[in-house]
Amino acid sequence: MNHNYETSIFSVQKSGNKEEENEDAYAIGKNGNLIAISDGASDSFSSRIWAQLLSQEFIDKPIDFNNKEVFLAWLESIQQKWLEKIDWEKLPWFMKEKAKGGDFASLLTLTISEERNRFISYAIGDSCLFIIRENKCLTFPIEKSNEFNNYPYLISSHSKNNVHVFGKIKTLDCEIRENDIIIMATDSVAKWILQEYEAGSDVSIQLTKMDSELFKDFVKGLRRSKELRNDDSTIILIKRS
Amino acid sequence: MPYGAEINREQPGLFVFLVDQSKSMDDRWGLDPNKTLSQGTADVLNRLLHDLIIRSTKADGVRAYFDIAVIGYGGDVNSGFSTIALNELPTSLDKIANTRMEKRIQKVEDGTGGLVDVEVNIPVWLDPIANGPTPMCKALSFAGNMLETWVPNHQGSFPPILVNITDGKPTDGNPEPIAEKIRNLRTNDGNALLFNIHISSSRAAPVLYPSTEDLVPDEGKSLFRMSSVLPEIVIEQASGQNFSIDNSAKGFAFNADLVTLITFLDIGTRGVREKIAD
Repeated sequence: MNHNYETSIFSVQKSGNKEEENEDAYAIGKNGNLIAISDGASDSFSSRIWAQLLSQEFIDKPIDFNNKEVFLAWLESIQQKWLEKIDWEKLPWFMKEKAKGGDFASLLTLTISEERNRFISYAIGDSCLFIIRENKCLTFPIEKSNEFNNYPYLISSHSKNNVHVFGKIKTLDCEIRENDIIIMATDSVAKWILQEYEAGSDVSIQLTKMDSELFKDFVKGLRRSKELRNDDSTIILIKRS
Repeated sequence: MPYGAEINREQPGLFVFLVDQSKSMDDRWGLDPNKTLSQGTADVLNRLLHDLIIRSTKADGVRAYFDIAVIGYGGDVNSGFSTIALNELPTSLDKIANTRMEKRIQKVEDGTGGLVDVEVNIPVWLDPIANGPTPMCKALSFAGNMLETWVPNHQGSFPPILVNITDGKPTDGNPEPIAEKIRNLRTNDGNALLFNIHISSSRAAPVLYPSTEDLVPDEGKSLFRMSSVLPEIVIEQASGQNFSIDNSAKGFAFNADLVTLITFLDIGTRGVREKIAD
C-alpha cells in the first residue's frame, strides 16, 4: 500500500534580518516522499539562491549521489543555472568580486521508497536528519552536538571549490517503520536537538506540536537564553499520514 | 563577558583609523625602500577597507555592518575619504563602497614556474599624503567627540576600535589625557579600544604587543601608555598567528615595518570582523 507523507515546515530567519534574507531553503515532492533542505552559508554572495537551486533540483531531478559521474554532471547543471542568474555586466566591483568567490550551501536529501520500506538520505555539510523511533533518536550525518563547527564542508556554486565534494557525501540507507517521525533540520536547531537528546530530553513531543507562530516564539526564546545560535533556523517534520 | 556583542545592521561596529599625514610620512620604509610610509599606510588601509566591504557584500548590496571613519592628520585634521567631509564621519560602510578604481601591476605565477605582470583594478579610498606638522591631539580630540555622539546611540554594539598609525610625536601637546578619555567611553559590551602603531623607516626590529613600558624605547613610551590592554578576543587572534603574548599586553607596536603594520591591523580587527552575523 502506498502512503503519503505529511510534512510540516517551520523556518525563521536570523534575528535582525528580513524574512526574504533567510538563506535556508527546502523543496518537497508532491507525495512528500522526496525532500531536500539546504543551508546557504551566510558570508557568501547569494547563498539563498544557491540553496534554493540545490534543493529544488533534487526534487526535479533526484539522482543517485553514489554515482560520481552522475552526481558531478547534476551539480554542474545547477552551477550553470546559478551562473545564468547573475547579471555580471551590471554588477559593481564589490558584488562582482564577491560573486566570483562563489556561493556555498549544505544539502540534505530524503528519498522514501515504499516498495523497499526504506529511505535513503544523502548529506553534504551540517544539516541533519533525526529519526525518532520508540523514544530513541537516530541522527545523521552528525552524531554528537560537539561535532558542529563553524567551517563545515559545503557545496560550492564554483567547480574549482568542489574538487573534493564527492568524497564528502554521506549516505544513510535505513528501514522505515510505521510510527517513525523524521526531522530534518539546519545546523542551529539540529545542534539543539542533539544537545537535548544527549541530556536525556525527548524533544519530539514539543516539536511535533509546532505551528509557525509557536516555532517563531520557540526559536526566539532559545536565542534569548543563548541555547540557540542566532542563525537561520529551519525544521521539516515528516510523518506517515 | 565583554567584547562578545554580535555585529549586525541593528548594532553595527565602529572602526576609526587615525592616520599621520605629516611631512615625515614621506620617508621610506626601512625594509621596503620602494615605498614611502604614507604610500604603504594608504595601501594597507585601502586593502583593509576592501576586505571589510567584500565581507559585508551580499547580492542585495553592501550591508551596513560597520560605521567607519578615517581621520588624517598632517598640517591639519582632515577626512581620509576624498568624497566624505570630516563632519560627516563616521560614515556607514555601504556609503563608501563605490569608489575610485586604480590600475596596479600585480605579479602572479604564470603556470610554468615563472612570474608574469598582470594589470588589476583595485579600489582606492586613501591617497598617500605627507604634509606639515603632526596635530595628533587635535585628531584624537576629534575622534573622541565623534565617539561621544556615537556611543550613547549604540549601547548594544561591540565597542569602537580606534587604530592610530603614526611615525612620530605629536606637535600639538600631550595626547595621553585625550586617549584616556577615549578609552573610558563604553558601550554595554565594554570600553572603546585604542591601539597605536608606530611605523618607522628604521631597520630596527619592531616591538610588538609589549606588556610593560620598559620594553619600549623612550620615543614610544607615550604611545604605549595611550594604548588599551588587549582584550581576550584580540589575544586569541594573535595566538592563532603564533604570537606569544601575555594577558597584560597592549595594543601597541613600535618601529613597525610594513609587514608588521599589516599583521597588526589584521589581528586587531579580525576578531570583530568574525562577529558579523549576516
